[in-house]
Amino acid sequence: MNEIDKLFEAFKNKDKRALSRLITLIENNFYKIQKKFYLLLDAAQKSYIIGVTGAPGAGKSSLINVLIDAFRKEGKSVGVIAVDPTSHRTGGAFLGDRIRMQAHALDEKVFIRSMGSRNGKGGLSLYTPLAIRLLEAYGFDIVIVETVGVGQEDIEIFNLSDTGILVVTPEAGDDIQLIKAGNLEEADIIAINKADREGADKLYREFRRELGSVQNSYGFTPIVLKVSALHKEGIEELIDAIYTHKRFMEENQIFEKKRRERNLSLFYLLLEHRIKEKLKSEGDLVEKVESGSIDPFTGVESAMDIICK
Amino acid sequence: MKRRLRVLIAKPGLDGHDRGAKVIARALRDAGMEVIYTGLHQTPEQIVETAIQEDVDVIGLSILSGAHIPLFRRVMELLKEKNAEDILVFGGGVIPEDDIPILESFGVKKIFTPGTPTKDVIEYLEEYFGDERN
Repeated sequence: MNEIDKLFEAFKNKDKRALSRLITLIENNFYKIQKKFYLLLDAAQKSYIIGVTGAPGAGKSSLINVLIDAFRKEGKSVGVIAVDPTSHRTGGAFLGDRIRMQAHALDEKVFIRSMGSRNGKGGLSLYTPLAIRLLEAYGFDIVIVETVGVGQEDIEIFNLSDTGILVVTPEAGDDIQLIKAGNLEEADIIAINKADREGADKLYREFRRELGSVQNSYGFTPIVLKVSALHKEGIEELIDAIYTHKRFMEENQIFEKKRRERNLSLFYLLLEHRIKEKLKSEGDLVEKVESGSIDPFTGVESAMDIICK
Repeated sequence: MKRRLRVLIAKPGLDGHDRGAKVIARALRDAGMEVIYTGLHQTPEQIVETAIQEDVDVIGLSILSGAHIPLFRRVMELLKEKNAEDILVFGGGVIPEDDIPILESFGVKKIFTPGTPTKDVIEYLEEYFGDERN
């Protein structure tokens, strides 16, 4: 058995280090394992995926920390992926989200992995969907994905997750127009964190007014709540809201629809990856397009010839 | 494809001075590494478990409290228990020259004493992992 086979075997036996190593392989050398990847995932997506996004400083990590507490009390195992921005300039990243979750570092049923966005879109790494699938295959009941979301493009997290939570702070009042056009309507739950601060009630009323009759693309009206991760307030209501959303999706068959869409997204992601790998390994088409000796349009047709050979 | 190094910068024990750790963390990030920083008051158990979950290549321990000998010893013991001795361990902080050989006997690869330019740390790591990255 070669290295990779041994790793997959260990993974099936619930070895944490194997899980951890496979995530690294996904990020760095996916082509080494992609053909085997399907072996450890059956198509059934078994975990419940919760996405948490919001501006830096909103309190996402602290909130996730209390969510982990709550789910652990229910006896559920939790896998967490915390994505932080990769510097375009240096390629490096400061991954500090887990500071807020370190109380769970030694809990057998909790696994936390930090990932750099590596310039993926929507504040997420390209490899995040694959890492999520891996955590599902490992068997976590709940998978929580955290990302920085500040722009209008950042709805990727809501496609990837079953329930998406947008975390804002009372000071966000001024940014409401900015947020509104983008991810506000796609969020399933809007949590106003640090709700003990001034402006929380006003923001709460404003959101309820703006969103009262709005439905996101799945027909769900976002639930707005006030929480405080620091004082551990509003957490029960947040958990209830998650379950309310889950029931809504089950009753309206949206769960399945979303998961089918996610499968398709993953299919395209993997396809793109495979094609790029193939083109890089056969001939110099990519270099020619990059240097300008072949234009993109001709390049695509040549690529099709290579692929369909 | 150049693999990005993953480095865990940790502060074990009761020591509350984190400026040095954060300076190193930022410098390593600017050198293109992915740096996981876990904050203050970590136990050796938390540090090693984190290192495994994050699949780091390197652990850097920052200790200014004087408790470096028991703390490093414990971390190296745990790494051995978990079959994770391949992770490079280096340290920084207030560590007397005389204690360095003791730490090295535990398996710690390098101690960077206060005032070491961050570029020395970066060069050391890049050289150590040089071949494996390609």
